[in-house]
Amino acid sequence: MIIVNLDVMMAKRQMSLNELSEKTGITTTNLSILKTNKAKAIRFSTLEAICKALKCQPSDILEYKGEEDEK
Amino acid sequence: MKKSKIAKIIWVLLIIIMILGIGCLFFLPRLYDLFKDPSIETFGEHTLIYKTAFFMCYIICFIIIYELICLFKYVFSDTPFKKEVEKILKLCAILFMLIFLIVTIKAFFIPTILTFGVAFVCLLASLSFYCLAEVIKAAICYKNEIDYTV
Repeated sequence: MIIVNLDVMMAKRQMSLNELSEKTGITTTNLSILKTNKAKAIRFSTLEAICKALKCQPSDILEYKGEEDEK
Repeated sequence: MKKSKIAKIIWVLLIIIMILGIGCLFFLPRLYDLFKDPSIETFGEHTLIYKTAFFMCYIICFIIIYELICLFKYVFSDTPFKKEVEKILKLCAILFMLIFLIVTIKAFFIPTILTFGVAFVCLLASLSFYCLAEVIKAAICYKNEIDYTV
């Protein structure tokens, strides 16, 4: 399963959800969906905007966890 | 979603059928005798099983009409892609299948062309409702995918 570590990166950059929303142009509702791992898919444009705002790589935000790791 | 003219007419028609049906429930034996074929026995002369099955079919039809009214309410109040819509469609499919079974059993004892016709229509309606429920189920999954694509 793919885990979104958006909250971790936001904490590292000391950025709030509203601040990130303003910088990326993504609504807070959609950022919340990402943050709470409810998202089913993510567009490249969204990922690009987040990476640009948080000055990080996609791998910093997305992480793959196998079934064994989940246990 | 805005109701179309035909949808409004059907909505009103369903409510009228529901009210008329409730009103006719008390005079059902009389109405049966009034419209029956002269060669068929009167309602009172039929066996208790026949009478029970008759009333059961009548009540199942009520439930179907009530569910259809609810379906209209769900579809036109918000979005049609809801779990409730799928549940209503599946319930209608089960209820039509139940009528089909009752009518088929009846056809063994009193075989008439009309009975077989009604049984066939009920079977078709049941299958149609089930297919529609599956379509709505797939549509709900698709909608969820779209809604949660950020």
